[in-house]
Amino acid sequence: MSKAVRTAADEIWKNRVEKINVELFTLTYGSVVSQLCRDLNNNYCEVNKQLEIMGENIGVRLIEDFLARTGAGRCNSFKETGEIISKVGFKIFLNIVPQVTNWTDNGKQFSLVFDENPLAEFVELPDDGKAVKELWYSNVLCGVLKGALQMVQLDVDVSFVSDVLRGHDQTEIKLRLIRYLKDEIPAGED
Amino acid sequence: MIYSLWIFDRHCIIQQDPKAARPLVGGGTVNLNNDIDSAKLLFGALFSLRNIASKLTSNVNIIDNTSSDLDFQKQNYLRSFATQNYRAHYFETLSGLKFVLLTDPSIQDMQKHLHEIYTNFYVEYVAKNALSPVDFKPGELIGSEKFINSVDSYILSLSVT
Repeated sequence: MSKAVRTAADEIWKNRVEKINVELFTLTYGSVVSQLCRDLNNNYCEVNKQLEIMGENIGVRLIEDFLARTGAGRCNSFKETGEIISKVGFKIFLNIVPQVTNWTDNGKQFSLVFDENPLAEFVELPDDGKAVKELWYSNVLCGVLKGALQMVQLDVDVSFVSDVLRGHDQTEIKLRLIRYLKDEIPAGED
Repeated sequence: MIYSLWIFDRHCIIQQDPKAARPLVGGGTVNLNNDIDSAKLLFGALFSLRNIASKLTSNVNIIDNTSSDLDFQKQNYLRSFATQNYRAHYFETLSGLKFVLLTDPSIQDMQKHLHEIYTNFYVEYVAKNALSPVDFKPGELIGSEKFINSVDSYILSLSVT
């Protein structure tokens, strides 16, 4: 499956996605984060939370665009979901393909490892001694993943494990499947 | 002949009943005086049929044993059902949106067009419209003029009308 998927995602990226200047994108995101830091008096935990909420709001819409562009069907397993997120999702929206690794034995948790991160291209965290410990600069990604997966009935816990901005070796996001959500049924008449 | 289009969101709430909708003539299978009730009935019928469709399929598609409790993986999708006076075409997205088009029973397959309405109009004018809600409140209809107008003209342009 994976080769066909990759070619298809490539084709979508090349021909069916409108592109914008990466610097505009990176700097726009940067100014959002820095404004949040200012508004919240450098309370970085709160900034993380706000970024995640913003991401969720993006994710619940982005998934429609994703489904419409790719015509993807329901994944047969969470493993397949992981592959699709990396090879199709990140590919067509950010033109990166994070590695899918660190599967747990029960197949319910994996990590995405980013070799490059367009959001954090020019960024250095502030030198206040706090940001390096508390701020997950690209936390919007967690929100996007959470929001998008929730719309296709996957309740997933998404969080950063490490970030090169904080001096770690690699940038890693962990996704843990909590449960599959059930179809909603119409409320009864009475 | 196309009669009407209904869209239900994942909370089973009706979103849209466009101007292009024409009353179903003859038969009285749909109660025109009470749109909300007929929407509920229509939805109920489709919802049950859809579940029957997936229940009656053997689960050959499940390759992952760890998640065998998932009945939605059985891939058999409801496309339409017909009565003497109309046919209801049904298209559901993975995100739980349901598009239902009522047409003359002689029209066999509208999947392509429903998909088109989703990708070209719903995603463009509703999902990407940051000020339009993702989750609609009960009784709230899609307000986007652009969406309504383009869906109307698309449906009217179909050769089957």
